[in-house]
Amino acid sequence: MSELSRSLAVSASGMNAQAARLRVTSENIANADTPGYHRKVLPFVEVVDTQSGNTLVEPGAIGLDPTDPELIFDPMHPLAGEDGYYQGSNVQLILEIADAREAQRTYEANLKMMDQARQMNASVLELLRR
Amino acid sequence: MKLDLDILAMSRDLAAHSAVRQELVARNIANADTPAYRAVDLVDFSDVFNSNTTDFTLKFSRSTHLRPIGGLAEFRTIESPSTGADQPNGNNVGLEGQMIKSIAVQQDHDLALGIYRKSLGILRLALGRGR
Repeated sequence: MSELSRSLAVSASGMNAQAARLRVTSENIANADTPGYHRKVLPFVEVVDTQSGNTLVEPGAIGLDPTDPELIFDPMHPLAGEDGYYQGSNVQLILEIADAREAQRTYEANLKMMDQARQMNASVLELLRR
Repeated sequence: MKLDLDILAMSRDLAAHSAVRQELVARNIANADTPAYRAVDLVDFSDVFNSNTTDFTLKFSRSTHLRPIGGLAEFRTIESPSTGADQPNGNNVGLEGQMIKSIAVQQDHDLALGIYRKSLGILRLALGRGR
């Protein structure tokens, strides 16, 4: 496996990881109003592919943000306690949007590296054609 | 008659160097959000050129054994110097710096292939076949 095709594999794994992160982010946003929902966080881990000796990046185990959920005052809510408060989610939309934007930027950077590896490969093959 | 084609060997080495470096830049970018990941880079080509005569390569008796990072032992992988992009989770990949590096890599690669192509053309000319 040449360096350039290894590079393609690494970039692809990076894009895959960012896509998984974007999925988790959209889950968080979708559940922003679910009572008792804790936002999910997705760490990345570096793994070694034993077949090719290539190091790839993979989404790790999903964890929960342990911050306390927001207390919302609504005595009419079915989940409200005696004091009239119930637990909302601990999702902060601004955080999720920033996270999604960062995932998009990194995805684009990975795409650029993939394109570059492809171009370098093509110019090597161009030598053979002469 | 022995042809001394140093320039072809040198341009091949430069192309190989930039290919490995491209892979490392791709790895850095893929790990831009991995906690505790440290950016890696290669020793400059001018520093490894003519100095890789002593080659302490590990022997691999099985294909499943772990390889050194970078795959090629002849180009030494180093942790890149800090660019001030350290994040609280221990990651120090700066996307902008990596982008600049990737452009330099592509220029090196183009240069190497250009020299290779030109040298082949000159050889062909010397053999009287024109271009």
